[in-house]
Amino acid sequence: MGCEVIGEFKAVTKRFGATTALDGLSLKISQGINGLIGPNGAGKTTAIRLSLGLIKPNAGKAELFGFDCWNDSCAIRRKVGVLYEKLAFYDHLSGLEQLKLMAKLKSGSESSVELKELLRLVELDDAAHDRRIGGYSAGMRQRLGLAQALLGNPELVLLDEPTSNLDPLNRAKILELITSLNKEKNTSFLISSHILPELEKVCDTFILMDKGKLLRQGSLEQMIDKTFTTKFTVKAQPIKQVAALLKGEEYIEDLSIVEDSLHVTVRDVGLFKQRLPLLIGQAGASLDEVKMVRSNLKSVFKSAVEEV
Amino acid sequence: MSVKMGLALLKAELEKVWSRPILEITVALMAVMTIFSVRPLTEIVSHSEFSTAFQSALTGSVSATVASLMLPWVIMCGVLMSLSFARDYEQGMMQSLLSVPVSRKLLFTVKFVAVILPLTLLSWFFTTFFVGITFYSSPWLVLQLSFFALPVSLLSLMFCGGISVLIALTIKRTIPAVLTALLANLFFWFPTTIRTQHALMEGAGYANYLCLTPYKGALVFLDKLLGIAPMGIDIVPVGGSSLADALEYSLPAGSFAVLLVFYAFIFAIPMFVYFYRRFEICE
Repeated sequence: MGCEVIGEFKAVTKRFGATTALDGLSLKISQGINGLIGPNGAGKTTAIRLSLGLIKPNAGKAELFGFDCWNDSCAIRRKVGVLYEKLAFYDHLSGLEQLKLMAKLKSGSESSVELKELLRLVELDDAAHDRRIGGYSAGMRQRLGLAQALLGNPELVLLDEPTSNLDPLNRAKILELITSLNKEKNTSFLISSHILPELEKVCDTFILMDKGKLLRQGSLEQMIDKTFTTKFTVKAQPIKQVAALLKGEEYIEDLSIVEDSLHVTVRDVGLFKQRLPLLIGQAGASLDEVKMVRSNLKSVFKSAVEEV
Repeated sequence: MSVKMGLALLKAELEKVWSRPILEITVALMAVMTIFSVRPLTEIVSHSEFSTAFQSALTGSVSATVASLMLPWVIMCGVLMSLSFARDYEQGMMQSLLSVPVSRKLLFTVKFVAVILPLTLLSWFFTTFFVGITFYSSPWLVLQLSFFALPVSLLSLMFCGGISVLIALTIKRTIPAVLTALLANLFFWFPTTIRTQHALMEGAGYANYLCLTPYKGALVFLDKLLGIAPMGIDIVPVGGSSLADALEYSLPAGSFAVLLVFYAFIFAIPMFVYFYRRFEICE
């Protein structure tokens, strides 16, 4: 996927009274599927709202497709679809009527072919015609919200917890849909979610935030490279003696014995690799195996947030 | 495109705001209040042979009926307007609507009109119909009333709507916003229950200024448009000046028209400007 930048936050600060939701946040939204991750209260939803002009920044500048997010929000909203975590519809309408209304509000017209296609994509084609939204299940509302976000072939779709109300099967389908839309229609996505393994499967790049600041941004590999700690599994004999030796080393972040192996978290991989054979040799112990534990998004998330 | 969008949105908002049983409750409330406040026909008709007595009956009845009718307008307008803004904010509907290319000006206008327009029509109908059937012996009065009740209802409801939006967008929580809007509007409605000449004769000097409040002012304006003057305003209370000098009777209809227009826009315009220029979704 291309890495053309379609949106940028430049030192954006947003305060709500005494709370600073975004603290000089600078990030770039690239074409492709972007994952927006961070602990609760990191400022993810605020960033999404700010990019649609629902919030005015106190300082800094936010742009999408070259438009200022506050001053030109209408132009942005024509190119962007959004699914919020808090779903709200006109509950007295049927799903199809809701989509027709939102299509009219978005582009001034409604294409019944497009609407039917969207409903088919989110598997709501049966219920959408005659059932009022008020009677929909949480999963159906979520799927309707997704269909609404995809109205009018948006260039960017912002999804805030898109799979939170869905069962595993439907979650997999939604993720497939996101991937296929990205490939077939070149639709970009910014997905905010706490379900990291799902994001890891579909996202090209990640934006990791905490306390209103950007912690990391890039592909998973780039994020791992920037992570300060790395985990190893060490098998050596006698294990307790090796553990005692390693405990005294300053680059060791964490160490524990699990069954017959040592789980070590290190801050300096180079120094660890250099010192380990020396320490083993000095102690007269034997080293059977050293394995670097493969980092994933969850481990990157954990270590990055803990570093703050 | 904007008109088309506006109409589509207005239709959806009207259906939402006036969904069952809101419309039924409003109509029932207005009907009950009117029926209880209209004087028995026999009393009016039997007095109609005496012009002064008829005039007195008119003053009491038109004012009392419209004042009583105002109570359900005020309640429903306060509740529905604060619900429309606070509940939509709290439940995320406003966020959803502001995330499509709908201008904030259009959204505010549509939400405001969706509450005000049906209430204005209902209040106009009830005022004309119920007061009309009471005073069928005076068709000219009924015709005048049907003409003047519409702008007076609209302007009064705009004040009610404006203050309710202010409360809803300040509190941003459905139940507290509705209760506060209700209390605020009842506070402004209360002066309509006080008969100025009675209060002044009892030495309550503050009563002189009650006609400057929004709803009482609207009633006085309506009375003046209909040419109704209460009996006995030439009486001079002990130690006081003539009742005819009181603001309610001495100020011309034009002054009350200006006052009513002022009240109609005092909150509506600042809230409109605030909504499209500064309002944020920051839950």
